[in-house]
Amino acid sequence: MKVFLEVIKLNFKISFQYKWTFAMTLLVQPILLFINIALFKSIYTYNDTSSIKGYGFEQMVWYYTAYYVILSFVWNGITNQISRSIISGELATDLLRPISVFRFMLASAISSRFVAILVDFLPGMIIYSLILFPAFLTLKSFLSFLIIAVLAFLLNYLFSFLLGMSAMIIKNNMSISAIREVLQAIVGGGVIPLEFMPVWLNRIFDLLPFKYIIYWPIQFFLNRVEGDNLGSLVRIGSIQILWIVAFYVVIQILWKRLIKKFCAAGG
Amino acid sequence: MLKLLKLFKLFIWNSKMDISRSMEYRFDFILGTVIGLAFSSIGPILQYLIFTQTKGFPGWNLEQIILFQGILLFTSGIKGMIFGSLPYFVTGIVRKGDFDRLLLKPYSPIGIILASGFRLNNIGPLLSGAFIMVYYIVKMNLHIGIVQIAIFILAIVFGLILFMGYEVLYSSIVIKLVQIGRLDELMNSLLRFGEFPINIFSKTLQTALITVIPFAVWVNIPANALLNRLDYTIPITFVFCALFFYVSLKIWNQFLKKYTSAGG
Repeated sequence: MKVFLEVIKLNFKISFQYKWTFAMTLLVQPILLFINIALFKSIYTYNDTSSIKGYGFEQMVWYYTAYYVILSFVWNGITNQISRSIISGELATDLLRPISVFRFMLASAISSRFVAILVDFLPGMIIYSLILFPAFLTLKSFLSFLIIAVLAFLLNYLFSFLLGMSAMIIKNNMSISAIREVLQAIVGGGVIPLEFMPVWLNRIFDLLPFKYIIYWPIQFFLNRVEGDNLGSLVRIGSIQILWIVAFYVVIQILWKRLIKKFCAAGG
Repeated sequence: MLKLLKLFKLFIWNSKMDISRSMEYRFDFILGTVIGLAFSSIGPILQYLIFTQTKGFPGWNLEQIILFQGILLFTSGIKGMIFGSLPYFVTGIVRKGDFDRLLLKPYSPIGIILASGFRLNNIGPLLSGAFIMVYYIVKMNLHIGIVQIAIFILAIVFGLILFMGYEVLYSSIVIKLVQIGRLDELMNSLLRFGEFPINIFSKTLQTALITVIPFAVWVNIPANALLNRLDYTIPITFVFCALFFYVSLKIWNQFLKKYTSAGG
Protein backbone atom coordinates (compact mmCIF):
# COMPACT_ATOMS: atom_id res chain seq x y z
CA MET A 1 0.00 0.00 0.00
CA LYS A 2 2.88 2.36 0.82
CA VAL A 3 4.42 1.81 -2.63
CA PHE A 4 1.00 2.35 -4.21
CA LEU A 5 0.55 5.69 -2.42
CA GLU A 6 4.08 6.76 -3.34
CA VAL A 7 3.34 6.02 -7.01
CA ILE A 8 0.17 8.12 -6.77
CA LYS A 9 2.17 11.01 -5.30
CA LEU A 10 4.89 10.68 -7.94
CA ASN A 11 2.42 10.52 -10.82
CA PHE A 12 0.47 13.44 -9.38
CA LYS A 13 3.62 15.56 -9.63
CA ILE A 14 4.21 14.38 -13.20
CA SER A 15 0.58 14.94 -14.25
CA PHE A 16 0.53 18.38 -12.62
CA GLN A 17 3.33 19.45 -14.97
CA TYR A 18 0.73 19.12 -17.74
CA LYS A 19 -1.91 21.15 -15.87
CA TRP A 20 -2.51 23.46 -18.86
CA THR A 21 -3.24 20.44 -21.03
CA PHE A 22 -5.90 19.38 -18.53
CA ALA A 23 -7.19 22.93 -18.26
CA MET A 24 -7.72 23.09 -22.03
CA THR A 25 -11.21 21.71 -21.32
CA LEU A 26 -12.01 25.09 -19.74
CA LEU A 27 -11.60 26.67 -23.18
CA VAL A 28 -13.20 23.85 -25.16
CA GLN A 29 -16.31 23.37 -23.04
CA PRO A 30 -17.67 26.95 -23.12
CA ILE A 31 -17.52 26.80 -26.94
CA LEU A 32 -19.49 23.54 -26.99
CA LEU A 33 -21.83 24.91 -24.34
CA PHE A 34 -22.64 27.93 -26.54
CA ILE A 35 -23.26 25.64 -29.54
CA ASN A 36 -25.54 23.38 -27.49
CA ILE A 37 -27.43 26.35 -26.06
CA ALA A 38 -28.09 27.61 -29.62
CA LEU A 39 -29.03 24.14 -30.87
CA PHE A 40 -31.43 23.24 -28.07
CA LYS A 41 -32.91 26.72 -27.80
CA SER A 42 -33.81 26.33 -31.46
CA ILE A 43 -35.28 22.84 -30.90
CA TYR A 44 -37.23 23.72 -27.72
CA THR A 45 -38.60 26.92 -29.27
CA TYR A 46 -39.57 25.23 -32.54
CA ASN A 47 -41.26 22.39 -30.64
CA ASP A 48 -42.91 24.90 -28.30
CA THR A 49 -42.19 22.76 -25.24
CA SER A 50 -40.35 23.05 -21.94
CA SER A 51 -39.50 19.36 -21.71
CA ILE A 52 -38.25 16.76 -24.19
CA LYS A 53 -38.08 13.16 -22.99
CA GLY A 54 -38.27 14.47 -19.43
CA TYR A 55 -35.32 16.83 -19.85
CA GLY A 56 -35.82 20.53 -19.28
CA PHE A 57 -33.79 22.96 -21.41
CA GLU A 58 -31.03 23.41 -18.78
CA GLN A 59 -30.81 19.67 -18.14
CA MET A 60 -30.59 18.90 -21.86
CA VAL A 61 -27.79 21.43 -22.44
CA TRP A 62 -26.02 20.33 -19.27
CA TYR A 63 -26.34 16.66 -20.31
CA TYR A 64 -23.58 17.23 -22.87
CA THR A 65 -21.48 19.28 -20.47
CA ALA A 66 -22.01 16.64 -17.79
CA TYR A 67 -20.51 14.09 -20.18
CA TYR A 68 -17.22 16.02 -20.01
CA VAL A 69 -17.63 16.53 -16.28
CA ILE A 70 -17.87 12.72 -15.94
CA LEU A 71 -14.75 12.30 -18.07
CA SER A 72 -12.83 14.39 -15.51
CA PHE A 73 -13.59 11.58 -13.09
CA VAL A 74 -13.47 8.44 -15.21
CA TRP A 75 -11.16 9.04 -18.19
CA ASN A 76 -7.92 7.08 -18.57
CA GLY A 77 -5.59 6.24 -21.45
CA ILE A 78 -4.70 2.77 -20.16
CA THR A 79 -5.82 0.83 -23.26
CA ASN A 80 -3.36 2.66 -25.50
CA GLN A 81 -0.76 2.95 -22.76
CA ILE A 82 -0.43 -0.83 -22.51
CA SER A 83 -0.13 -1.08 -26.29
CA ARG A 84 2.54 1.62 -26.41
CA SER A 85 4.57 0.01 -23.64
CA ILE A 86 4.47 -3.33 -25.46
CA ILE A 87 5.49 -1.85 -28.83
CA SER A 88 8.29 0.23 -27.26
CA GLY A 89 9.45 -2.67 -25.07
CA GLU A 90 8.86 -0.70 -21.85
CA LEU A 91 6.54 -3.36 -20.47
CA ALA A 92 9.58 -5.59 -19.85
CA THR A 93 10.99 -3.00 -17.41
CA ASP A 94 7.52 -2.29 -15.96
CA LEU A 95 7.35 -5.96 -14.98
CA LEU A 96 10.50 -5.55 -12.88
CA ARG A 97 9.01 -2.81 -10.68
CA PRO A 98 8.23 -3.56 -7.01
CA ILE A 99 4.56 -3.02 -7.84
CA SER A 100 2.40 -4.89 -10.35
CA VAL A 101 1.62 -3.32 -13.73
CA PHE A 102 -2.08 -3.32 -12.81
CA ARG A 103 -1.52 -1.41 -9.57
CA PHE A 104 1.09 0.91 -11.10
CA MET A 105 -1.28 1.97 -13.87
CA LEU A 106 -4.15 2.29 -11.40
CA ALA A 107 -2.05 4.67 -9.30
CA SER A 108 -1.20 6.61 -12.44
CA ALA A 109 -4.87 6.83 -13.41
CA ILE A 110 -5.90 7.97 -9.92
CA SER A 111 -3.30 10.74 -9.80
CA SER A 112 -4.23 12.00 -13.27
CA ARG A 113 -7.89 12.20 -12.18
CA PHE A 114 -6.90 14.17 -9.07
CA VAL A 115 -5.23 16.72 -11.34
CA ALA A 116 -8.21 16.72 -13.72
CA ILE A 117 -10.60 17.38 -10.83
CA LEU A 118 -8.41 20.22 -9.52
CA VAL A 119 -7.70 22.08 -12.76
CA ASP A 120 -10.56 20.92 -14.96
CA PHE A 121 -13.66 19.96 -12.98
CA LEU A 122 -13.65 22.54 -10.15
CA PRO A 123 -12.95 25.72 -12.17
CA GLY A 124 -15.04 24.27 -15.01
CA MET A 125 -18.12 23.99 -12.81
CA ILE A 126 -17.81 27.67 -11.90
CA ILE A 127 -17.31 28.82 -15.52
CA TYR A 128 -20.11 26.66 -16.98
CA SER A 129 -22.47 27.67 -14.18
CA LEU A 130 -21.90 31.32 -15.04
CA ILE A 131 -22.91 30.59 -18.64
CA LEU A 132 -25.95 28.46 -17.77
CA PHE A 133 -26.76 27.99 -14.10
CA PRO A 134 -27.48 24.34 -13.17
CA ALA A 135 -30.63 25.06 -11.14
CA PHE A 136 -31.38 21.32 -10.98
CA LEU A 137 -28.29 20.54 -8.88
CA THR A 138 -28.73 19.85 -5.15
CA LEU A 139 -26.23 18.86 -2.48
CA LYS A 140 -27.87 15.43 -2.24
CA SER A 141 -27.71 14.80 -5.99
CA PHE A 142 -24.13 16.03 -6.14
CA LEU A 143 -22.99 13.75 -3.30
CA SER A 144 -24.78 10.79 -4.93
CA PHE A 145 -23.04 11.69 -8.18
CA LEU A 146 -19.64 11.67 -6.48
CA ILE A 147 -20.17 8.12 -5.16
CA ILE A 148 -21.38 6.82 -8.53
CA ALA A 149 -18.56 8.67 -10.34
CA VAL A 150 -15.87 7.08 -8.15
CA LEU A 151 -17.29 3.61 -8.86
CA ALA A 152 -17.54 4.52 -12.55
CA PHE A 153 -13.85 5.44 -12.47
CA LEU A 154 -12.92 2.01 -11.11
CA LEU A 155 -15.20 0.27 -13.60
CA ASN A 156 -13.76 2.23 -16.51
CA TYR A 157 -10.21 1.57 -15.36
CA LEU A 158 -10.78 -2.19 -15.20
CA PHE A 159 -12.57 -2.21 -18.55
CA SER A 160 -9.75 -0.19 -20.15
CA PHE A 161 -7.12 -2.49 -18.67
CA LEU A 162 -8.95 -5.55 -19.96
CA LEU A 163 -9.11 -4.07 -23.47
CA GLY A 164 -5.49 -2.95 -23.18
CA MET A 165 -4.44 -6.56 -22.63
CA SER A 166 -5.48 -7.25 -26.24
CA ALA A 167 -2.15 -5.57 -27.17
CA MET A 168 -0.37 -8.68 -25.93
CA ILE A 169 -1.86 -10.45 -28.96
CA ILE A 170 -2.29 -7.76 -31.65
CA LYS A 171 0.36 -5.27 -30.39
CA ASN A 172 -1.27 -2.12 -31.81
CA ASN A 173 -4.76 -1.89 -30.31
CA MET A 174 -5.76 1.61 -31.45
CA SER A 175 -8.77 0.18 -33.25
CA ILE A 176 -10.01 -1.69 -30.18
CA SER A 177 -9.65 1.50 -28.21
CA ALA A 178 -11.71 3.25 -30.89
CA ILE A 179 -14.41 0.56 -30.62
CA ARG A 180 -14.68 1.34 -26.93
CA GLU A 181 -15.06 5.04 -27.72
CA VAL A 182 -17.85 4.34 -30.21
CA LEU A 183 -19.67 2.09 -27.75
CA GLN A 184 -19.16 4.53 -24.91
CA ALA A 185 -20.54 7.32 -27.08
CA ILE A 186 -23.62 5.44 -28.28
CA VAL A 187 -24.38 2.74 -25.72
CA GLY A 188 -23.12 4.75 -22.76
CA GLY A 189 -25.26 7.74 -23.66
CA GLY A 190 -22.37 10.06 -24.52
CA VAL A 191 -23.89 11.46 -27.71
CA ILE A 192 -27.58 11.53 -26.86
CA PRO A 193 -29.69 10.76 -23.77
CA LEU A 194 -30.61 7.08 -23.88
CA GLU A 195 -34.30 8.00 -23.48
CA PHE A 196 -34.22 8.80 -27.22
CA MET A 197 -33.38 5.14 -27.97
CA PRO A 198 -36.10 2.47 -28.29
CA VAL A 199 -37.07 0.71 -25.03
CA TRP A 200 -35.95 -2.74 -26.27
CA LEU A 201 -32.51 -1.32 -27.08
CA ASN A 202 -32.28 0.22 -23.63
CA ARG A 203 -33.03 -3.19 -22.11
CA ILE A 204 -29.99 -4.57 -24.00
CA PHE A 205 -27.85 -1.61 -22.90
CA ASP A 206 -28.82 -2.42 -19.30
CA LEU A 207 -26.86 -5.66 -19.65
CA LEU A 208 -23.66 -3.90 -20.75
CA PRO A 209 -21.22 -1.92 -18.57
CA PHE A 210 -21.20 1.35 -20.58
CA LYS A 211 -24.32 2.82 -19.01
CA TYR A 212 -22.75 2.53 -15.59
CA ILE A 213 -19.66 4.49 -16.68
CA ILE A 214 -21.37 7.43 -18.40
CA TYR A 215 -25.17 7.48 -18.38
CA TRP A 216 -25.89 6.82 -14.71
CA PRO A 217 -23.32 9.27 -13.33
CA ILE A 218 -24.88 11.90 -15.64
CA GLN A 219 -28.36 11.04 -14.34
CA PHE A 220 -27.26 11.52 -10.73
CA PHE A 221 -25.48 14.74 -11.69
CA LEU A 222 -28.62 16.08 -13.41
CA ASN A 223 -30.72 15.04 -10.41
CA ARG A 224 -32.93 12.94 -12.67
CA VAL A 225 -33.02 9.74 -10.63
CA GLU A 226 -36.63 8.77 -10.17
CA GLY A 227 -38.07 7.51 -6.91
CA ASP A 228 -36.05 7.09 -3.75
CA ASN A 229 -32.58 8.55 -4.33
CA LEU A 230 -30.92 6.30 -1.75
CA GLY A 231 -32.58 3.18 -3.21
CA SER A 232 -31.39 4.10 -6.71
CA LEU A 233 -27.94 4.88 -5.40
CA VAL A 234 -27.67 1.45 -3.77
CA ARG A 235 -29.10 -0.32 -6.85
CA ILE A 236 -26.84 1.37 -9.41
CA GLY A 237 -23.83 1.24 -7.08
CA SER A 238 -24.36 -2.50 -6.56
CA ILE A 239 -24.47 -3.18 -10.29
CA GLN A 240 -21.29 -1.15 -10.74
CA ILE A 241 -19.59 -3.17 -7.98
CA LEU A 242 -20.71 -6.42 -9.63
CA TRP A 243 -19.14 -5.32 -12.92
CA ILE A 244 -15.97 -4.24 -11.09
CA VAL A 245 -15.62 -7.66 -9.42
CA ALA A 246 -16.34 -9.50 -12.68
CA PHE A 247 -13.75 -7.50 -14.65
CA TYR A 248 -11.18 -7.86 -11.88
CA VAL A 249 -11.52 -11.65 -11.84
CA VAL A 250 -11.29 -11.89 -15.65
CA ILE A 251 -8.21 -9.63 -15.70
CA GLN A 252 -6.44 -11.72 -13.06
CA ILE A 253 -7.10 -14.96 -14.96
CA LEU A 254 -6.20 -13.59 -18.39
CA TRP A 255 -3.12 -11.68 -17.23
CA LYS A 256 -1.55 -14.82 -15.75
CA ARG A 257 -2.10 -16.68 -19.02
CA LEU A 258 -1.00 -13.90 -21.36
CA ILE A 259 2.08 -12.84 -19.42
CA LYS A 260 3.48 -16.39 -19.74
CA LYS A 261 3.36 -16.00 -23.55
CA PHE A 262 4.57 -12.39 -23.54
CA CYS A 263 7.78 -11.85 -25.48
CA ALA A 264 9.33 -8.38 -25.07
CA ALA A 265 10.71 -6.45 -28.02
CA GLY A 266 14.17 -7.88 -28.65
CA GLY A 267 13.19 -11.43 -27.68
CA MET B 1 3.68 27.05 -60.10
CA LEU B 2 6.58 24.62 -60.42
CA LYS B 3 7.01 24.69 -56.65
CA LEU B 4 3.33 23.92 -56.17
CA LEU B 5 3.67 20.95 -58.53
CA LYS B 6 6.68 19.69 -56.59
CA LEU B 7 4.78 20.08 -53.32
CA PHE B 8 1.95 18.07 -54.86
CA LYS B 9 4.45 15.34 -55.77
CA LEU B 10 5.68 15.45 -52.16
CA PHE B 11 2.08 15.06 -50.98
CA ILE B 12 1.65 11.99 -53.23
CA TRP B 13 4.89 10.51 -51.92
CA ASN B 14 3.85 11.14 -48.29
CA SER B 15 0.46 9.57 -49.04
CA LYS B 16 2.11 6.41 -50.37
CA MET B 17 4.24 6.25 -47.22
CA ASP B 18 1.14 6.55 -45.03
CA ILE B 19 -0.56 3.74 -46.97
CA SER B 20 2.51 1.54 -46.49
CA ARG B 21 2.56 2.35 -42.77
CA SER B 22 -1.15 1.53 -42.48
CA MET B 23 -0.51 -1.84 -44.14
CA GLU B 24 2.13 -2.67 -41.53
CA TYR B 25 -0.67 -3.08 -38.99
CA ARG B 26 -3.23 -4.39 -41.45
CA PHE B 27 -5.65 -5.82 -38.89
CA ASP B 28 -5.65 -2.55 -37.00
CA PHE B 29 -6.20 -0.60 -40.22
CA ILE B 30 -9.16 -2.73 -41.40
CA LEU B 31 -10.73 -2.65 -37.96
CA GLY B 32 -10.04 1.10 -37.75
CA THR B 33 -11.79 1.68 -41.08
CA VAL B 34 -14.83 -0.35 -39.99
CA ILE B 35 -14.92 1.62 -36.74
CA GLY B 36 -14.58 4.85 -38.70
CA LEU B 37 -17.65 3.83 -40.67
CA ALA B 38 -19.51 2.99 -37.45
CA PHE B 39 -18.42 6.20 -35.77
CA SER B 40 -19.49 8.27 -38.75
CA SER B 41 -23.00 6.83 -38.44
CA ILE B 42 -23.42 8.55 -35.06
CA GLY B 43 -24.30 11.94 -36.54
CA PRO B 44 -27.09 10.68 -38.85
CA ILE B 45 -28.45 8.41 -36.07
CA LEU B 46 -28.46 11.34 -33.66
CA GLN B 47 -30.38 13.53 -36.09
CA TYR B 48 -32.75 10.65 -36.90
CA LEU B 49 -33.54 10.21 -33.20
CA ILE B 50 -34.04 13.96 -32.67
CA PHE B 51 -36.25 14.34 -35.74
CA THR B 52 -38.37 11.23 -35.14
CA GLN B 53 -39.07 12.16 -31.53
CA THR B 54 -39.40 15.92 -31.85
CA LYS B 55 -40.27 18.32 -34.66
CA GLY B 56 -36.54 18.92 -35.14
CA PHE B 57 -35.41 22.44 -35.89
CA PRO B 58 -36.76 25.08 -38.24
CA GLY B 59 -36.13 24.96 -41.97
CA TRP B 60 -35.12 21.31 -42.12
CA ASN B 61 -37.05 18.05 -42.36
CA LEU B 62 -35.65 14.60 -41.58
CA GLU B 63 -34.48 13.76 -45.11
CA GLN B 64 -32.83 17.14 -45.58
CA ILE B 65 -30.99 16.92 -42.28
CA ILE B 66 -29.71 13.39 -43.05
CA LEU B 67 -28.47 14.72 -46.41
CA PHE B 68 -26.81 17.53 -44.42
CA GLN B 69 -25.14 14.88 -42.23
CA GLY B 70 -24.03 12.94 -45.30
CA ILE B 71 -22.36 16.06 -46.70
CA LEU B 72 -20.79 16.73 -43.29
CA LEU B 73 -19.27 13.23 -43.29
CA PHE B 74 -18.16 13.53 -46.90
CA THR B 75 -16.39 16.87 -46.43
CA SER B 76 -14.94 15.80 -43.06
CA GLY B 77 -13.64 12.66 -44.77
CA ILE B 78 -11.94 14.67 -47.52
CA LYS B 79 -10.42 17.08 -44.99
CA GLY B 80 -9.39 14.18 -42.75
CA MET B 81 -7.76 12.23 -45.56
CA ILE B 82 -5.77 15.18 -46.92
CA PHE B 83 -4.84 16.90 -43.65
CA GLY B 84 -5.67 14.37 -40.89
CA SER B 85 -2.06 13.71 -39.84
CA LEU B 86 -1.03 17.35 -39.93
CA PRO B 87 -1.62 18.22 -36.23
CA TYR B 88 0.44 15.21 -35.06
CA PHE B 89 3.11 15.88 -37.68
CA VAL B 90 3.63 19.55 -36.91
CA THR B 91 3.44 19.07 -33.14
CA GLY B 92 5.93 16.18 -33.34
CA ILE B 93 8.55 17.99 -35.45
CA VAL B 94 8.35 21.21 -33.46
CA ARG B 95 8.69 19.46 -30.09
CA LYS B 96 11.57 17.25 -31.25
CA GLY B 97 13.37 20.15 -32.91
CA ASP B 98 13.02 18.55 -36.38
CA PHE B 99 11.19 21.65 -37.61
CA ASP B 100 14.60 23.38 -37.88
CA ARG B 101 15.55 20.95 -40.66
CA LEU B 102 12.47 22.01 -42.65
CA LEU B 103 13.81 25.57 -42.69
CA LEU B 104 16.85 24.36 -44.62
CA LYS B 105 14.86 22.70 -47.40
CA PRO B 106 14.32 24.37 -50.79
CA TYR B 107 10.53 24.61 -50.25
CA SER B 108 8.42 26.75 -47.99
CA PRO B 109 8.16 25.01 -44.57
CA ILE B 110 4.39 25.51 -44.46
CA GLY B 111 4.16 23.92 -47.92
CA ILE B 112 5.97 20.84 -46.64
CA ILE B 113 3.73 20.74 -43.55
CA LEU B 114 0.55 20.98 -45.64
CA ALA B 115 1.86 18.22 -47.92
CA SER B 116 2.43 15.88 -44.94
CA GLY B 117 -1.12 15.49 -43.68
CA PHE B 118 -2.46 12.47 -45.60
CA ARG B 119 -4.23 9.94 -43.41
CA LEU B 120 -5.79 6.86 -44.97
CA ASN B 121 -7.68 5.99 -41.78
CA ASN B 122 -10.20 8.75 -42.53
CA ILE B 123 -11.53 6.94 -45.57
CA GLY B 124 -14.46 5.60 -43.46
CA PRO B 125 -16.38 8.89 -43.10
CA LEU B 126 -15.65 9.77 -46.74
CA LEU B 127 -17.21 6.53 -48.01
CA SER B 128 -20.20 6.57 -45.67
CA GLY B 129 -20.78 10.28 -46.40
CA ALA B 130 -20.70 9.69 -50.15
CA PHE B 131 -23.13 6.79 -49.78
CA ILE B 132 -25.61 8.75 -47.62
CA MET B 133 -25.38 11.75 -49.91
CA VAL B 134 -26.05 9.79 -53.13
CA TYR B 135 -28.77 7.70 -51.47
CA TYR B 136 -30.69 10.74 -50.24
CA ILE B 137 -30.24 12.67 -53.50
CA VAL B 138 -31.97 9.75 -55.25
CA LYS B 139 -34.52 9.20 -52.48
CA MET B 140 -35.51 12.87 -52.35
CA ASN B 141 -35.60 12.99 -56.14
CA LEU B 142 -33.53 16.18 -56.17
CA HIS B 143 -33.14 17.88 -59.51
CA ILE B 144 -29.50 18.82 -59.69
CA GLY B 145 -28.29 20.89 -62.64
CA ILE B 146 -24.90 22.18 -63.77
CA VAL B 147 -25.13 25.26 -61.52
CA GLN B 148 -25.80 23.18 -58.42
CA ILE B 149 -22.94 20.80 -59.23
CA ALA B 150 -20.57 23.71 -59.94
CA ILE B 151 -21.42 25.41 -56.64
CA PHE B 152 -21.10 22.11 -54.79
CA ILE B 153 -17.61 21.52 -56.25
CA LEU B 154 -16.57 25.14 -55.66
CA ALA B 155 -17.74 24.87 -52.05
CA ILE B 156 -15.59 21.75 -51.59
CA VAL B 157 -12.56 23.49 -53.14
CA PHE B 158 -12.99 26.72 -51.12
CA GLY B 159 -13.76 24.61 -48.06
CA LEU B 160 -10.35 22.95 -48.48
CA ILE B 161 -8.69 26.36 -48.92
CA LEU B 162 -10.36 27.52 -45.71
CA PHE B 163 -9.30 24.36 -43.91
CA MET B 164 -5.72 24.85 -45.12
CA GLY B 165 -5.89 28.33 -43.63
CA TYR B 166 -7.13 26.83 -40.40
CA GLU B 167 -4.28 24.32 -40.35
CA VAL B 168 -1.78 27.10 -41.10
CA LEU B 169 -3.12 28.98 -38.06
CA TYR B 170 -2.83 25.81 -35.98
CA SER B 171 0.79 25.35 -37.12
CA SER B 172 1.52 29.00 -36.32
CA ILE B 173 0.26 28.55 -32.75
CA VAL B 174 2.30 25.34 -32.38
CA ILE B 175 5.59 26.99 -33.44
CA LYS B 176 4.83 29.87 -31.09
CA LEU B 177 3.79 27.89 -27.99
CA VAL B 178 5.68 24.61 -28.71
CA GLN B 179 4.48 22.56 -25.72
CA ILE B 180 0.74 22.77 -25.32
CA GLY B 181 -1.43 19.68 -25.29
CA ARG B 182 -5.00 19.30 -26.59
CA LEU B 183 -4.67 22.36 -28.82
CA ASP B 184 -6.20 20.26 -31.62
CA GLU B 185 -9.20 19.60 -29.37
CA LEU B 186 -9.69 23.33 -28.87
CA MET B 187 -9.35 24.03 -32.58
CA ASN B 188 -11.74 21.16 -33.44
CA SER B 189 -14.37 22.48 -31.03
CA LEU B 190 -14.37 25.78 -32.94
CA LEU B 191 -14.91 23.86 -36.18
CA ARG B 192 -18.16 22.48 -34.74
CA PHE B 193 -19.85 25.81 -35.51
CA GLY B 194 -19.74 24.65 -39.12
CA GLU B 195 -21.40 21.32 -38.38
CA PHE B 196 -24.94 22.63 -37.81
CA PRO B 197 -27.42 24.47 -40.03
CA ILE B 198 -26.47 28.10 -39.50
CA ASN B 199 -30.10 29.16 -39.00
CA ILE B 200 -30.01 27.75 -35.42
CA PHE B 201 -27.56 30.50 -34.46
CA SER B 202 -28.22 34.18 -33.76
CA LYS B 203 -28.28 36.62 -36.71
CA THR B 204 -24.87 38.04 -35.75
CA LEU B 205 -23.29 34.60 -35.64
CA GLN B 206 -24.96 33.65 -38.91
CA THR B 207 -23.36 36.68 -40.57
CA ALA B 208 -19.99 35.79 -39.06
CA LEU B 209 -20.27 32.20 -40.33
CA ILE B 210 -20.62 33.37 -43.92
CA THR B 211 -18.02 36.14 -43.72
CA VAL B 212 -15.16 36.51 -41.22
CA ILE B 213 -15.27 32.87 -40.05
CA PRO B 214 -16.81 31.36 -43.20
CA PHE B 215 -17.39 27.86 -41.78
CA ALA B 216 -20.73 27.72 -43.65
CA VAL B 217 -18.71 26.74 -46.72
CA TRP B 218 -18.09 23.21 -45.43
CA VAL B 219 -21.62 21.86 -45.12
CA ASN B 220 -24.26 24.58 -45.30
CA ILE B 221 -23.37 25.82 -48.80
CA PRO B 222 -22.99 22.35 -50.40
CA ALA B 223 -26.26 21.25 -48.73
CA ASN B 224 -28.07 24.38 -49.87
CA ALA B 225 -26.66 23.90 -53.38
CA LEU B 226 -28.07 20.36 -53.59
CA LEU B 227 -31.39 21.52 -52.09
CA ASN B 228 -31.48 24.37 -54.60
CA ARG B 229 -31.46 27.07 -51.93
CA LEU B 230 -28.95 29.33 -53.64
CA ASP B 231 -28.48 32.95 -52.62
CA TYR B 232 -26.19 35.93 -53.15
CA THR B 233 -24.07 35.24 -50.03
CA ILE B 234 -22.33 32.21 -51.57
CA PRO B 235 -19.70 34.12 -53.62
CA ILE B 236 -19.11 36.39 -50.61
CA THR B 237 -18.32 33.32 -48.50
CA PHE B 238 -15.92 32.01 -51.16
CA VAL B 239 -14.04 35.34 -51.17
CA PHE B 240 -13.77 35.26 -47.37
CA CYS B 241 -12.38 31.69 -47.53
CA ALA B 242 -9.55 32.85 -49.79
CA LEU B 243 -9.03 35.88 -47.54
CA PHE B 244 -8.88 33.66 -44.45
CA PHE B 245 -6.14 31.57 -46.08
CA TYR B 246 -4.21 34.68 -47.09
CA VAL B 247 -4.38 36.18 -43.59
CA SER B 248 -3.37 32.89 -41.98
CA LEU B 249 -0.28 32.76 -44.23
CA LYS B 250 0.60 36.31 -43.16
CA ILE B 251 0.27 35.28 -39.52
CA TRP B 252 2.43 32.19 -40.19
CA ASN B 253 5.17 34.34 -41.74
CA GLN B 254 5.10 36.70 -38.75
CA PHE B 255 5.33 33.81 -36.28
CA LEU B 256 8.06 32.13 -38.31
CA LYS B 257 10.22 35.25 -38.12
CA LYS B 258 10.04 35.05 -34.33
CA TYR B 259 10.58 31.29 -34.18
CA THR B 260 13.38 30.45 -31.75
CA SER B 261 13.50 26.63 -32.03
CA ALA B 262 12.39 24.18 -29.33
CA GLY B 263 15.63 24.78 -27.41
CA GLY B 264 14.92 28.53 -27.04
